[in-house]
Amino acid sequence: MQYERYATGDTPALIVYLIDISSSMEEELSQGVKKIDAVHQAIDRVVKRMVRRSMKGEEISRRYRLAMLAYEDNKIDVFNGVQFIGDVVKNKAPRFQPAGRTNTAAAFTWARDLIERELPQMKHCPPPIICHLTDGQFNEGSDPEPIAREIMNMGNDDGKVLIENIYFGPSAAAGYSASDPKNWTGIKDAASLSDPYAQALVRMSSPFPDRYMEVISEDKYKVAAGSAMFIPASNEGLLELAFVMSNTTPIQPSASLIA
Amino acid sequence: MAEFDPAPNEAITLEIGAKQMNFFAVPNPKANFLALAIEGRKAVVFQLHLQSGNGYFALKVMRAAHRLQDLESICRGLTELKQLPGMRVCERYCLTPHNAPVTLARCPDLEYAILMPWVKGNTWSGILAAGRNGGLAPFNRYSATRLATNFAVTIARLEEMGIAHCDLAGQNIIIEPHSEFIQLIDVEDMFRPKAPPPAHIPAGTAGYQHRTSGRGQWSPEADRFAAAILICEMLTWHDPAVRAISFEESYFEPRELQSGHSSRLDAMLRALAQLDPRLSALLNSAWNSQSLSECPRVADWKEVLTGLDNGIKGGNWDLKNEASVTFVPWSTDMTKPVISWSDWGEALAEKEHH
Repeated sequence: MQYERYATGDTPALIVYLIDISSSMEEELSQGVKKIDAVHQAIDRVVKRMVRRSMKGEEISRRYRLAMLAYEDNKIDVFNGVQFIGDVVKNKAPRFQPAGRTNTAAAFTWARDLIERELPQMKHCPPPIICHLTDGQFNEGSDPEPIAREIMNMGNDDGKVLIENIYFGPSAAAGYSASDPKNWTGIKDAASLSDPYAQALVRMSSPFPDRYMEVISEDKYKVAAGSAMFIPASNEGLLELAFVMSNTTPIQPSASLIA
Repeated sequence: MAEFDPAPNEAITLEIGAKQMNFFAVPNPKANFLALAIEGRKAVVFQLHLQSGNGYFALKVMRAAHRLQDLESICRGLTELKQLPGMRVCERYCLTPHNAPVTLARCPDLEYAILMPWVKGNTWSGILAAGRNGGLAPFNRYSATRLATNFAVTIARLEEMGIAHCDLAGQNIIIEPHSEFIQLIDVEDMFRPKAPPPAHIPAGTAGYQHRTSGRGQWSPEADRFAAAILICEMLTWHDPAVRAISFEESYFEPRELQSGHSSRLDAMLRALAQLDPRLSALLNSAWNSQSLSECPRVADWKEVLTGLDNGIKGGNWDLKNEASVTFVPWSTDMTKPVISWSDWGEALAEKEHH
């Protein structure tokens, strides 16, 4: 079985965030909330949850390593490479001002190169995860899909690199209409969506590993087995689901069996 | 109705029965824009401080799938154990619709949350993880033996009463600061005579599981193997040769437990034999056991260890040349502004506003 490795201080998880900060991210996501504000909130929530999952008594263990690229047609390496979560929170939280066009291919190329450099030291770690936050309208550079597929073929003996896409486009385009996010069952087939950008993002998303599904179901979400790691970020509930997903690298659990 | 997610220093009132208790959420000392909370698989534990007085408390907020009615009777049963050594967290209140309707109406997330004393100290797994890069000050053969003895006495007392923790592991053992005393945490799934089985039967924690643990371990013998491993970790951690080859947050790699050959086992047996050959014999017996009932009783370990401990107290050991090591806090340099930065706390407060 794959994706069995624990994120620990010795075998930390590497999570690479790719943040779309192109001008379209200035648009509203919902009810007066701009997409970029929702992204900022998402980052803050993720960091908060990682800190909580990393606490050893009153210390933050080196359980998570983060990299973050903010991109439009330019790229900004937010943490100047990879940082432990305990170091990330010593600094202030990043806030982005959207501008420019969307060169997603360049961002995925950056991520691929970073993971290529990191993988030789990650033999005993959980496979890296890329968490891509975008409204999906790639309009600069080449097609990102081939690079995403290349990344999804990289990995270590615990599994391939995972790519998760958090979609900040219109909810209807992502096939999302449920009022209760916990009942959203996920998307298995890109063709079931009408928006071509959303379809591309589904194809660029890894399927959820079984191990992650176990953790997600503990939060009483109903994402179906085999769904793509593609989450429409149309409201707070779904954003919370997305946080859960980008944090589900298993930490050392107390195993239990259902009685 | 808001999610229970207090900001640092936020006032929190819990009405349980006739009591009204006022707390504030303690800031995380390493990230003061957050309340101090530790997230595990079943729950998030927040540290609270009494608004009047000096008491620190833990509020264990169960995750949705683990908010079970049974927790009320489990907590009631555990309260009876609070006077036992190492069982301080058994002094607890469980917030139920019956005893805390006002609090739960305000915050449904707190259904079956558990309020108990906050146990200060390092977890044993934290000591193992950090110890390979330094150590615990002072941690030598003397303190190792005292710690292992106290642990064995605590678990043997439970054993004598037919009780087992059922998930003994480094992360569930807190070493009290500047002492060799231990406290057990995560006690909700303990085996107690006449108690109904929990909804999720414990199967132990990686690094401490017997070959049969995968089938579930909820019996009076459940602690025997894990306790044997933990006692030996505690006894031998002062030895640099042992520390140098430790796996991660447990000394043994999970898959090597009870395997045919293990260099870590050999190193541990050598270190134990130097203390007392009866200890290495006990470990061999646990290692080779086919069932938990075949493992030595914790009382057997206690008997040998209390003899050693008395030897220490009697001054039979020459400790002048014992190695000791020191723990240091993790720290790494970093800086660099990007575009613009805001305080994490402000950012989270903004979020609450929305």
